[in-house]
Amino acid sequence: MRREFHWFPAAVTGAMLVYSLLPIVTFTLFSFNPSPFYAFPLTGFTTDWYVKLLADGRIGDSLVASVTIAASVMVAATVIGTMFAFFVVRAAVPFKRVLAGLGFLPLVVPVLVLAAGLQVTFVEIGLPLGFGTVILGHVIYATPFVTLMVMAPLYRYNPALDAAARDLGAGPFTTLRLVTLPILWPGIRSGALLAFLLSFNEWAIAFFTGRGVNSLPMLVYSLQRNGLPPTVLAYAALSTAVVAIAALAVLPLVTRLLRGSK
Amino acid sequence: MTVSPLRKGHALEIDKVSKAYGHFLAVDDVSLAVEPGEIVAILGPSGSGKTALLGMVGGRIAADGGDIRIGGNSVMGLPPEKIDAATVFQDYALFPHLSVLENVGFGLRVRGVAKAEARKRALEMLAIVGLEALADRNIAQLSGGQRQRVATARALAVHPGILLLDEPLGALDRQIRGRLQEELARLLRRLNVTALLVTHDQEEAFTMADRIAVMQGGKLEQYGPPAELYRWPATEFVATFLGNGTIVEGRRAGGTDDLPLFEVAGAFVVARSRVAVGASARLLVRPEHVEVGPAGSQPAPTWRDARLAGVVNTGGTSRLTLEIAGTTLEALSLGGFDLVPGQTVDCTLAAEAAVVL
Amino acid sequence: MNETWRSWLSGTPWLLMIGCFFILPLAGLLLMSFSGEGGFPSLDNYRVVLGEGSDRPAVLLRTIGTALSVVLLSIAIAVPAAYYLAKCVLSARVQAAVLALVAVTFLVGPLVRTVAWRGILGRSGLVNTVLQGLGVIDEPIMALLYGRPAVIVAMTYNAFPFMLFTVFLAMKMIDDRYLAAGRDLGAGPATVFWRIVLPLAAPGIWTGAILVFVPTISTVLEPEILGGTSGRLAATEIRDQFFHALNWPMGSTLTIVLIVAGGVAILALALVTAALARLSGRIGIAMRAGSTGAGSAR
Repeated sequence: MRREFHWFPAAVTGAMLVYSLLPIVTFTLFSFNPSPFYAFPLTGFTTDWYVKLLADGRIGDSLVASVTIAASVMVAATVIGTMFAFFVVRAAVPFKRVLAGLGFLPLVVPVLVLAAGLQVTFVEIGLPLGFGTVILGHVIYATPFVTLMVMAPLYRYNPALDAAARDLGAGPFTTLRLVTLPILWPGIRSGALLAFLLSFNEWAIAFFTGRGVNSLPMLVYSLQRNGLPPTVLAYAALSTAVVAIAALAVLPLVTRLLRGSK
Repeated sequence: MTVSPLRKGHALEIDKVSKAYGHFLAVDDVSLAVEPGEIVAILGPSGSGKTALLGMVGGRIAADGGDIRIGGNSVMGLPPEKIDAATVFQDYALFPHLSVLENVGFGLRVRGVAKAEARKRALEMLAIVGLEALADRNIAQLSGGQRQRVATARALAVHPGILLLDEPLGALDRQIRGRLQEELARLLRRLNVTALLVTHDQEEAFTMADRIAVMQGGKLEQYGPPAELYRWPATEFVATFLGNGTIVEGRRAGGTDDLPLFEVAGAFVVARSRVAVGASARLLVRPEHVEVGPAGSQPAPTWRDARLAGVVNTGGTSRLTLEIAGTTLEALSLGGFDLVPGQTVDCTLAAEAAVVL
Repeated sequence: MNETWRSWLSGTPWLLMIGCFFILPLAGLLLMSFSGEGGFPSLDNYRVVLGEGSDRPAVLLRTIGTALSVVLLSIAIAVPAAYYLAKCVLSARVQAAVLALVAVTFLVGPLVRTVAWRGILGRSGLVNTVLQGLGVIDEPIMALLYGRPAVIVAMTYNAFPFMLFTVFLAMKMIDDRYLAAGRDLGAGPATVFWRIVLPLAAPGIWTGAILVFVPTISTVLEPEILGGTSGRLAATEIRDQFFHALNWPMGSTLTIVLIVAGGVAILALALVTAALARLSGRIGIAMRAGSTGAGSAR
């Protein structure tokens, strides 16, 4: 196929990349700047802010809190979301479309609304606000994304593979464990990663339902209110690096998916 | 309605065109010309370069070298929309968001024809292919055959200098394909459309085309009317790709230039050739040219004492495998008389039936 | 029987959670919004919010207007870029790399992404520094930060990847032969884009619009971090009712009103998009208006 160069969409794509990268590059640059203000000029190079960040006890505690929450959310959302993907794609029950639509509702209701509603409910039913309630809220928020990630490969999945496994003597759960899930694994893995990151970065639900929980976004939120010390920039740069490494791990998968959908 | 006005010269000239993908030569120095009103089929197996050739004529693929002229004007380097050709795509590529009528009128509208006029001409075109009653339908509501006709109408509506068809009936069931081949060819002839058709289906090429270009491995093997290609194939590939036949080893034994004699499996047969006396040659023998009967039944058989190695009855006809002095030959026999494998038979080769390749 | 049992097993956990921790909370908000000073049920809160002299309707309109401009900006960025990636770039590796780059910046999280703009739009930020360095301006432009433009820039920044991903997928699904057929019939690249690509990608644009609109009407970070004293938005008011005024019924009422207003806006957006999609896709020769939709199936 002959492909021509179209300058306008190419220019917009370039501008989009600049737009996407500019803030990231800017805060990374300033995280190495000796000046305590997030403003020009750049006056030198220092890693002091990183040292300070790592020495700050609050950061460590918040990191533990955030990772605990995100990991729990990842496990729960991945299991529940994958099961629900099977429901959406495979189940044969009355009113399935309605029920499936119900399951995706959190995608179209603002997070703030969910956060406020959860706070009201948790307090009304007497559930103490804390780690548990934040995890619950994040699972509600993240699970539909996991389901979407797993649905794509599940729709493409050839049911004859299951039939073949059963025919060869595998029971339904052995089939699931040895055939179906390994084939769906790339999608499940991406969904799990997404659930982890969504929870790790989520602020509103934690703010509303996590009394006394000081997750990283909560800490960053309070730090930026008090003059934005460059340790926040150092934290931002570090977390970008972590996300980038995670993305590199799934990049070959994305490339393969894009080739497949041609 | 006449689509192609009377034109001087060739409708399409493909002149020493090549296309390489990396080290793979998809089209290798191909030249052919199509006359106004002619239907030409490019016939070849998949990977022969026929679709790449069509893509270059339509401007979808950039040729590496050579020239392509439509109505005398070079189209090299032109974008597809500036080329006076319209394509019936494989699987039709009908726009799913437009109705039948809008699909047919699309080319006219984007060329700036006014709405009312475009609508009128699209309806006329639909009437010509017999689908005016379905003008309002969605593409998804059409059968395969109807889609084929809409795709043809859509391409013809812009009055192209040449119509390009990429496996136009390949997506259809075998049963309706035969009928639609004839219908489509009749339509194109009635409208005096110049058409270049790409197909891997020998029957389709023979049913529809005035001339056939056989391609293989990016090269043009032979170009001519169907009967000529079948009767006088220029290469072994053409000989075996079109129809059945056995290629046998022979040797020019003598004879005159007008009546060259070849020795094949211990018998002498006449075949047109310039091969020198004593030289070896390969000859094509079509199964329908070999007549087989029980031993002693033929007055002057070409071969006596042929052993019948196999009989496969395919309904009205039987396919016979013969062994003659170490050479294997295929024959076709009408009806199923009582031939059994292993028996000795007489074989007669029709006069001048063997072709030297 | 076994099949049915497994079907329900796969769906029940999530549906139960949705019921308990999604439907129930929303219902709770709805109920609470009706408890006013005069007991329950009462419309007191709604009277306060929507009654005369209240500035809430203006806040609501501002919120919806801001979110709609974010949606439009996202379309302006994502549609050309998605088209370029899906239909002009041949290599799946390049496509994946660009999308991954955007995804990485996206997954850094809205808080950090928002804060970052201070260093770009601030008094001594990147933009002012560069412009001053080039001699374009003498004094730094103060209005860049702490105002509506900064809020919209950051909101768009935080939400447009949703649009990019959905539109890219929608365009990737469009068969290349439709584009080739359009060109073959005489349409130039621009005509093919408007007449074929855009109408066929419309569902993706539409999904993207919802995914951009929904988080945008409810975010409190951008106005708080970059908005300065520019007009308050609905989400901030809701947060304040819950955390500062501690008036949960009023907070619930504002939430319900926001949901309803958002729903109305999405509906209006849907009607406009549908009309536009029809305009761009139609070529004006249909037998009768709208006759080619699914409704004409017999």
